[in-house]
Amino acid sequence: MELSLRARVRAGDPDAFGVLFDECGQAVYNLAFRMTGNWSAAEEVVSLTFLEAWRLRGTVRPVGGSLRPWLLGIAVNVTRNAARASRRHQAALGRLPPAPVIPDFADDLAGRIDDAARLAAVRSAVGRLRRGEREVLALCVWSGLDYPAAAQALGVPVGTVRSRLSRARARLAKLAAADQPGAHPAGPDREPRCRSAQEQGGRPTAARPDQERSP
Amino acid sequence: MNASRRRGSDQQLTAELAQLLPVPAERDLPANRQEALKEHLMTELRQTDHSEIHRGRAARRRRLGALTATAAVAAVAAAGLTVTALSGHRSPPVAGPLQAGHPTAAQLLDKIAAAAARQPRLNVRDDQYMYIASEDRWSSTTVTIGGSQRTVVEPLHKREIWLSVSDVCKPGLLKDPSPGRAMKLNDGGDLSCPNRGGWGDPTYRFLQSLPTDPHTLLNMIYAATRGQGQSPDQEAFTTIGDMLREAIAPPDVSAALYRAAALIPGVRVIPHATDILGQSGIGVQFARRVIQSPAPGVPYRETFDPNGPTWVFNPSTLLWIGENDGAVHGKQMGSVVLKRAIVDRLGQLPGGK
Repeated sequence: MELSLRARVRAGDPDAFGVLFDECGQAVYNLAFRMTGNWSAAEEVVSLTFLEAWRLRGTVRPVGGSLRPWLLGIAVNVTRNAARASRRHQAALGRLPPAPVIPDFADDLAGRIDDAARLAAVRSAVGRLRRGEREVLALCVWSGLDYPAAAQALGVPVGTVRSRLSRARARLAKLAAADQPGAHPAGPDREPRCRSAQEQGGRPTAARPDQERSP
Repeated sequence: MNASRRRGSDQQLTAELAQLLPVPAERDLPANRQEALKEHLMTELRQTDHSEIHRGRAARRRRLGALTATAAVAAVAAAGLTVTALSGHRSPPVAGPLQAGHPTAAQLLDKIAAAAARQPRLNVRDDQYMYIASEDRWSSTTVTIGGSQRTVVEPLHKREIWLSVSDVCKPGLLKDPSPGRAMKLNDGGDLSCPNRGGWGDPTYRFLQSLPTDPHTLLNMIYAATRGQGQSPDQEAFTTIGDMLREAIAPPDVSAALYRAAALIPGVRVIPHATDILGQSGIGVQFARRVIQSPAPGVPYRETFDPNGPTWVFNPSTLLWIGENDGAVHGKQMGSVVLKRAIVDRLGQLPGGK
């Protein structure tokens, strides 16, 4: 009997991880970008996510559907604990092929600037959510997981996913109302937005191994 | 009815949230980067963790320094999954059914435990080092972007390591020609220091702290390795092997580790085992299950691996000689312990300066 992809992943067949990378690499990349706000950090999160997936393959349940929720859950944990994950795979990350410094095309550069501007807007909005709320939002709204899949990915009950999303909605709605013309622009509420806009140009969330290594 | 209403309200909540937020950027990972990252991943998977047998060793090597990780081996995965299976050069099974007169694994391990328990008890100070010298032979596999593999068997070589008896944060020393030079070892990692290590990187003090009741010990090992490896039993066997190979344990703990191994289902006796130096001994093997495709295009299936990890013991003293980890290109991979001792300083040889 031919084994499913899930069974081959559980059994540690490297080729199965190649298939998984082809199927889910893009989804992990986009989720990682939204969580870290940096395309090159997102590439590193992709690598770390799959290395972690390999390490944790024994935790895949024997039966189930797509492995995408499982991988996205790992990606969330990797961005949350980027420093720890990159130390664990420090040697492997050291061998990661470096990203080209200069983009291939001029419009790619323009695209990146545009991405950054859009992201600054998104981050200023989600910057005031709690971490748990941001994570369910990223999985359910941006990566399109349903609530049970997001719950499984994060290892929390479905009810928690619902309540976090409800809280996120309430917070964002309040924020949107404050942003309407006529609202006071310089209230104390504005301050966190400036801070998250500054973070934008700062150090990416995913730790780079050369910065983690002690001298 | 309730469920579908709930699903509806879930979807509405998601949609409302999406409307409250600016649309985030989305892009494809550039094709050349996707290819590069995938190639990197595949190389890492095949080089660093090819098999559960090597998991502990590879983990320790990674911990000890990045350089050795590339030299860590593909013996079983390469041999078991593709290379040897395809070329039809699989070694014949090293053990057939047991003949009458051979002990069961439990009986043999009980005698091995008794022999270990008779070893002298050491007085160890916190500032000392475990010294382990071994002869090693491993292989390394390189995988190219097209998926072709090249497996190279390292020559047999001497390996010497010094590790703190009490604190894994204290630098150690490794002399092994595969990384090419003597190197200082250090593992700060995300540990809080000082740290006496754990199941994957045990110090003498860690091993000393373990219970000597085999059932309690095995349950602790199952709990500590839960979710790792291919099966709880295999992971437990591998973990115990890691603690017996390149470490030093008090006699009663060594004995308890052997008695714990005897409780793992799937452990069997290999009456005539030969270590990598060609010395004959008696073996204890975990009957490893592997996923294998017998030929190109034939579906993968679960089968039994006669090259499973095997501990080899001196047939008369019943002390640990070494470990066999499968064959590559007809050569047995593994290690043989030459000397274990507690020494005062990094780089110091037993009985010398």
